[in-house]
Amino acid sequence: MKGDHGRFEALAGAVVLGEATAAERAAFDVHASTCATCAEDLAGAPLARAAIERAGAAETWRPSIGSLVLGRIRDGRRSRFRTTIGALGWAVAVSIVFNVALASGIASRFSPLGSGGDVTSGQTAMRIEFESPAPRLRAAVVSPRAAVAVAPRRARTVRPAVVARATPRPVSHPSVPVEPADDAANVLAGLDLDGPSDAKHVAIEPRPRCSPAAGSIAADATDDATRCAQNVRR
Amino acid sequence: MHDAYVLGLDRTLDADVRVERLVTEYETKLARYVRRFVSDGDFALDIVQDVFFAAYRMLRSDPARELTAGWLYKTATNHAISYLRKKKRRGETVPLGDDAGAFRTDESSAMQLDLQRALGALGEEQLACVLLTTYAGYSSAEAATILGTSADAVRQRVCRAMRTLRTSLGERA
Ligand SMILES: [Zn+2]
Repeated sequence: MKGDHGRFEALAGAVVLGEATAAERAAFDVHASTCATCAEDLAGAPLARAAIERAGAAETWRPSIGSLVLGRIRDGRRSRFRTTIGALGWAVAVSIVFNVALASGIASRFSPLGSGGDVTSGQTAMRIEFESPAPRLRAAVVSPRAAVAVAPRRARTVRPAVVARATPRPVSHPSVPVEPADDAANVLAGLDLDGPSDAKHVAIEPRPRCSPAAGSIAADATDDATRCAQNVRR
Repeated sequence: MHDAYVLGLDRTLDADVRVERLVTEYETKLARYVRRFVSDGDFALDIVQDVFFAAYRMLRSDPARELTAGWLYKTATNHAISYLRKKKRRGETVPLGDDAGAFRTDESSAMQLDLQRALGALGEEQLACVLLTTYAGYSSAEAATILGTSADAVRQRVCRAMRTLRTSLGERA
């Protein structure tokens, strides 16, 4: 056999499959006239091909696997559905428990300040509020001589008529008499500011000298409270 | 031309509906092809189920993807080759013993059985080329695409396979 005989095998394959062009067929015939192997391939291949085609035509086997395949698909889908429903169920259950806990006030029992309220000391009155979920500062003027503070947490009990939004626009401050410094200090001292409570975030308001803009409350209530306390003690 | 025929036609349909249509159209053709390949009806059915399930997973994850008959045959061929190689590694011969009955029930049973034994003597690559072209009806170019090779390589393997088959069938005749 010649070195490039593989090319003639490919040509023989094309002839057997009925794909050879006229030029390819002619080239193969020229080669087969001098090559015994290719001549045999050319003579014998149609026999083998015919045997395969006859076998295919005579097949009577008709398997039915549709129900198996679709059953497998349905099983997979059911399993995915169960997983999804399970996850949703857990989410709903957790949400219900959480909301019930909030609504019933159970959560507030774990706070040293409960659900907030009014605190008065001397001439200063202070209201503690809890708001949920996003901590937001809120100021409420409770009495003409009072300053107010806020801490994030839960139940909102402020009387709307006297609530002034802390952010973002500056609000002209009502003319409130500035309370004696000692009062504010007492109020702060009356709160358990060392305890693990959100009420530590206390801002004293209004105190023009404590706040950069009169009538507004700085975003960082803790800083303000600290600054105020320092001012008060001065 | 099989490959130009995009299966699972309507892409707005759910994957399971598209696969159901594929199964209806191809289960018999594909099962017979794979049974010829592995000479075992039960394993052929396992393989074909796997192929359709793979098609389902593919359509579910990527509904826009085109699915061709060539893909089904390619996947089935890969499974079949893998199955035969595992058998060879374990030193098992092509069965036919248990499954011969299945081939005998067909017409001209002796010829079927002889042919199946002759096919079983071919290497996997030659077997794939012969079955894809002469049994499944693909051209050498289409078979080349399915097998990831060239059309000339397919033709050459067909030629060599035919030589082996001719010898095997001639000896049995
Ligand atoms: Zn030659």
